[in-house]
Amino acid sequence: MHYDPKLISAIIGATASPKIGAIIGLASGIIFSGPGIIVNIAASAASRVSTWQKLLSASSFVGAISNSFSGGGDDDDEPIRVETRCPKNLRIQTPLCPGPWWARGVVGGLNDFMGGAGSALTFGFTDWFDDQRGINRGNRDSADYNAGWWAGTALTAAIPGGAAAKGAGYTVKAGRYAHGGGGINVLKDGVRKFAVDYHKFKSQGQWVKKIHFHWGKTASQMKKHRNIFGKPY
Amino acid sequence: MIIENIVGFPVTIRFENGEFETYENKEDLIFNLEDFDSDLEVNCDVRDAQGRKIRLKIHLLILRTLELARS
Repeated sequence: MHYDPKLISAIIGATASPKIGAIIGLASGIIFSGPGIIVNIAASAASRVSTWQKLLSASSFVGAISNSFSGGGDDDDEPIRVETRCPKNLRIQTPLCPGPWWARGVVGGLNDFMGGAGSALTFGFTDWFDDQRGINRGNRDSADYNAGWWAGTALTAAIPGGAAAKGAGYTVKAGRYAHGGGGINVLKDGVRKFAVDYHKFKSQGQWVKKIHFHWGKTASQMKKHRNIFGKPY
Repeated sequence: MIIENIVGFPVTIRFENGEFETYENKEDLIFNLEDFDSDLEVNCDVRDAQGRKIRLKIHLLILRTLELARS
């Protein structure tokens, strides 16, 4: 994976301001996609809870990550060639599409992920929102719950170049963890390569609960709970 | 899930870069290691409190295997 302007712009769009991220997500969902609207309305509905905003914004980051797999990848990785683009059937011209590369990156990343994954993603997030609000609580010990990664296949198929990604061994799994929290994981051949997580962990000897990221090529790198800038908590 | 009681905590992992990490209990392993397979991470050394080599598998915060390694 190499870092390109699209990725950098998406990081800014996804994390610089959760509120702005949610607004952009909502707008892009309405403009570009049907299913994505549901997800983004959910994001909007959850706008009073900054953590959810951040997580939803982070979900667009994953979409952007998938967009960044455009050649020049790791030596041992099959490059995934994808393109960020404005929809061909776009009838409403927006200031951002067509537009400069940074805008296309932000909107493209959001649109590709939210639009493509929207319908699949909604099941999990709406359940999660309900769960966080104290309703729709399931049996956390059930086999269904523990096997409850929703939309893994659908998400993989939904990301840009999803078929190619799957062929190269990539899958995306998102949902709640069995012992609390949730996350979005990118795996290659079943091995975790990238994750956006929200759950408790130890930081400098104290248990904390924060949005964090995992990435790296080695076990020692992957175990680190990183902030958006890559610095371990 | 395979968990044998004879594995004693704390569990210590020496990672491929020489870094050591100690995990006090299963909760510590699950939430702080999160995803690890000692069968795949051959350059990492995982040992229990008695210094015995162990097999450890955690996948997406689910502890799947914690047992003494068969030598």
